[in-house]
Amino acid sequence: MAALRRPSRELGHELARALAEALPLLKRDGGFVRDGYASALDETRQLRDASRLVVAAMQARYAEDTGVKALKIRHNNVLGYFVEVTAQHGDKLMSPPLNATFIHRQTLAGQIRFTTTELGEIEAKIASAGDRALGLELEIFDALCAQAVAASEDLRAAAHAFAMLDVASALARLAIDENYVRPEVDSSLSFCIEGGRHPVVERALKREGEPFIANHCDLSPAPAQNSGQIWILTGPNMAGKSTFLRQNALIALLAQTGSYVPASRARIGVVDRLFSRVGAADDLARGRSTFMVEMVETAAILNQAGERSLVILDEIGRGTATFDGLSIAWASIEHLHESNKCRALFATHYHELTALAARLPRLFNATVRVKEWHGEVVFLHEVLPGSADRSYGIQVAKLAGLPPAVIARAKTVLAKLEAQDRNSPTKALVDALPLFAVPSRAAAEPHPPSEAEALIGALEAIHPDEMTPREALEALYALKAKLPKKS
Amino acid sequence: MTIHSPAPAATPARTTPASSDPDTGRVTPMMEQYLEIKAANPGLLLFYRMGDFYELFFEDAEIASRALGIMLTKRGKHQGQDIPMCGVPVERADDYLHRLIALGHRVAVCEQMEDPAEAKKRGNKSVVRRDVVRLVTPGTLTEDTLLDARTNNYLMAIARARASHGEDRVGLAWIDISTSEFFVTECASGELAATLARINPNEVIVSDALYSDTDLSPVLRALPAVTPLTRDVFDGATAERRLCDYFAVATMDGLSQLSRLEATAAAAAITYIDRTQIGKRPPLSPPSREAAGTTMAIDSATRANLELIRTLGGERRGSLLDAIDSTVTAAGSRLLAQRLRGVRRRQRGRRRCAQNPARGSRHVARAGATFGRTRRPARSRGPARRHSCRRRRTGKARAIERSAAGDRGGDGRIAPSLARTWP
Repeated sequence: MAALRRPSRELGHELARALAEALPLLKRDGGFVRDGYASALDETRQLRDASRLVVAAMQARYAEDTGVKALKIRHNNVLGYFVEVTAQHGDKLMSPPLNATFIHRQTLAGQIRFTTTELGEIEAKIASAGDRALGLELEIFDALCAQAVAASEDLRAAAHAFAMLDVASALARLAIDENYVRPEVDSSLSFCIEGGRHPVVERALKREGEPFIANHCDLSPAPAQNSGQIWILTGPNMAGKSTFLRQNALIALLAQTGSYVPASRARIGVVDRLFSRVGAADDLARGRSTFMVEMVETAAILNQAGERSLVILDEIGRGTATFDGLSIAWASIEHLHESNKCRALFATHYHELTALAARLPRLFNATVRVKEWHGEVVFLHEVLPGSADRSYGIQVAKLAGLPPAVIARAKTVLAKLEAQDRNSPTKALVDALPLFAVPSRAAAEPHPPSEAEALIGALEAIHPDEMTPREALEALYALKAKLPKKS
Repeated sequence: MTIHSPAPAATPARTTPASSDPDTGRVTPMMEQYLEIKAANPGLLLFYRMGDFYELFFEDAEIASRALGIMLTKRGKHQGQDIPMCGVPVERADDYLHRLIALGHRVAVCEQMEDPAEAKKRGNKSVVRRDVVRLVTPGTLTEDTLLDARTNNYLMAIARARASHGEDRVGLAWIDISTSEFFVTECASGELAATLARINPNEVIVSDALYSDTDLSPVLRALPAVTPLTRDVFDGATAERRLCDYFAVATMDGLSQLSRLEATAAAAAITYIDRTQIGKRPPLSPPSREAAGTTMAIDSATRANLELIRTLGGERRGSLLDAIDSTVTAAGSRLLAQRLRGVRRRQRGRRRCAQNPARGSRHVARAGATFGRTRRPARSRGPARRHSCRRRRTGKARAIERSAAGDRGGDGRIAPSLARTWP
C-alpha cells in the first residue's frame, strides 16, 4: 500500500495544471495545453487569435472600400488567405483604382479570388504564431513525458499496487456474490470438499435460473493410511461426471491461487502437480489419432504423478476396442493406486472396474444418481457412494435425436449383447483375474427392454407413407411376431 | 537486423540491384531508396510512408492486399514490369497493422524523416529522406489498439545449454514491454512445453540452431510466432554486458541474481527489443526471477482441458478466468490471469484470503466498487507508452494525470480501447 503513495503529488499537479479539459486525439495539431500554464504559449496564442480578428476587421473594411457587400476573406491550403468576390464584382476589383490593392489570383466559375499585400503580411504572422504555438506545445509535451518517464518506477509500483488491490477486492466481491468460502490449504494430503460447485457451469445455470447441485468429494487419506484416495465414478452420460471431475480440479487450483472457492467448505493439502485427461480431439496436424493423444497424455500422468499430485481421468480407454480399453483402464488404476499413490478421480463407463474397490484399499466407488421414469432417464446430478448399473447410452442417444429406427435397433442389439456377455469366454477371463471378486453381479444386471417397449419402438420405426402395400403387410406380420408368445 | 521468417510471413525481398536498363528506363530515385530499405529489413513487410499513406510494393503489396482485402494497384515500372502497390491511410494504419500482426506477419514502419520541402531544396530529383523507425512484431507491441487490455503480451527468449550428461537445461526470459514486466526462469528442456503453455508468449525468439533442433522444433513450431535470430543475440559471453548496458548499471548483481542461462535469455530478449524499437528503450523492471518449482505443474493438455484462460474453442467466455474475473481495471484483470496461470505450489491461500470475505474484505470490496464507479483506467501500461511517446489517446493522458494526482473524481471518460474492461 505504501507503493500507492510513492508517485509524487507534484507530477500529478503539474499534469493537471498543464493539460486542457478536453484533449484532442492527436498531439499533432496541438491544443492540449491549458491556457495560463505557459505565458509564452498564451502570448503566441493571443497573437494568433488576435490576427484572426484583424482578418475579420479587414474583411469589413474591404467590403466598405469596394462597396461589395458579399466580399469575403477565406482560407484554403493552396492559396492561404484570399479575398473572394462573385464573378459579377470581379471586374470592379480588377480595374483602377482598386486593382492597385487587389492582386488577381484565381478565376472560378462563380467566384474570383484576390490577394493583397496587407493580407499576405497578416497571413505570415498568423502562420508563424500558429507554428510557434504548436512548437511550444510540443516542447511542453516532451517535458511532461520526460517527467513522467523519470517517475516511471514509482508510477509502475503504484499501478501494480492498484492492480493487487483490484484483484483482492474482485475476489472478495466474487466470494460474497457467488457464495464462495475461504479454503484451508495445508501441507497434508487431504482433499476434502463439501458442497463443491463448478464455477463456470454454476454461472451458466444461474443465467437460466437453475440451481447447481453441489457435491462432496473426499480424497483425504483414511486415518490408518498415508496416501490419498482414488474415486471411481460411474454413471450415465450427461449425468455430470465430467463436471464433477473438473470442478474438483478447479477448486484445488483456485484455492492455491489465493482465491475463495465455490464450496461450502474445502480443505486441501497442497497439490504440486495437476493432471487432467478429459476427452480429446484428434491431433491430425501431428498425425495422431484420438486414441494416440489419449495414450500419450495417460502415459505422462502415469510416469509423472506423485503422492502430492491430483489426477483427473475421464473415460480412459474409450478410443479403442472395448476390451482393450477396459484392460488399459484397469491396469492404469492399479498403477495409480500402487505406484503413483496420488489423489485421483476416475470416471468411466466400464462398470467392471468398480469391482476393483474390493481389492484395492484406497479405491472407492461413487456414482451419479439418475432415476428411470417411463423409459426416460432423469438426471439428478448427485454424487453418491456406490456404482451405476448401466450407462443409459441409448436413452441419451434418443434425447440427442437419433432416428427412432436406429434407437429401436440399438435396443435390440444391446439386449442381445448383454445376453451373450453373460456366457462369453471373455467374461470368464475377466473373472479369472487374480483377486477379482464379482459382487452380487445379478443385482447389477441390466434388464432387457420390456416387450411393450420393443413393440412401441418397432411401431415408431414404421413410416406408412413411405411403404408399398406389400411392405406394409410384411411389417404387420413382423409386429405380430413380436408379441410375447402365450404359454 | 536479420529475421528469418517462418513460412507465412516470408517475403522474399526483390533485392535485385536497381541498375539502369536501357529498355525500360532508369529506376526512379524513390524506388532506389525503397529497395535499399527493403533489403535492409528482410522478412518484414515494409510500410513505406508516402504523404498520408503507408504504401507497400512488390510481393509485400500482394501479401498485404490479400491479407487485408484492400485494392492492389500499380505504380510505375521496375525492370519493364508493373510495380504492384497497395496502401493504407496513416490515420487508420493501426487497424491494418493489427490484422497483419494477428496473421503472423512482421512489419517495418518506414517514416519520412524530413519535410518534403527540405528535400525539394536539394534539387528536383532528390527524394525525401526516409528511415525505418520501428519494427512491429507480435511480441513488441505497446499500442492499446493492438493489444487486448486484459491480457499480457509477452515476448519470450529461449536459450539452451547442452548437458554432457542428463537432461538439457533451458533459460527463459519473458517481457511485456507494454507493462514493463520482466521475468526469467530456468527449467529442464522436458518441461519447456508445460512452461510455454503456462506463460503463453505471443512471440518467441530462439537461435537459429534451436529453431532447427530436432528435439525442440516440434514444440516451437506449435507456437503462434517464432522468430529465429542469429547466434550473436544468444551469446552468453556478452549477455551480462548487454543487460548492464540496458539498465545502465555496472553490474546486474544489485538488480537480480540470474543464472548464466537466464542472463543469456534475458539479454537476447532486450537485444531484440532494442532492435525492434530502433534505439528507443522502453523502461523495463529489473528481471524478476521465478524460482523453479514454485508453481503448480500443469501440463499443456491439462491446461487446455480445464479451460483456465480460454475454452477449448479459444474463447475467453466460458473459461474459468471469465467466470471469476470481476476486476474493474485491465491491470487487475491481467494480474488475476497471471496468478491463474502460475498457480503457487506453496500455501498461499491463508495469506491471501480473509477468514470471512463478507466481513474481512468488505472495505476492500467497497473500495473496489469505488474503482468501478470512477472507471479508473488501467495504468501499468502507461510508462512504456509514455516513453515511446506513442500515446495518442485522450483517456490515457487523463489517466496519468489522475493517477499521479490521486484525483478520485472521474468524469467517466475513458480510452475507447479500455472501455471493454467495464462491461
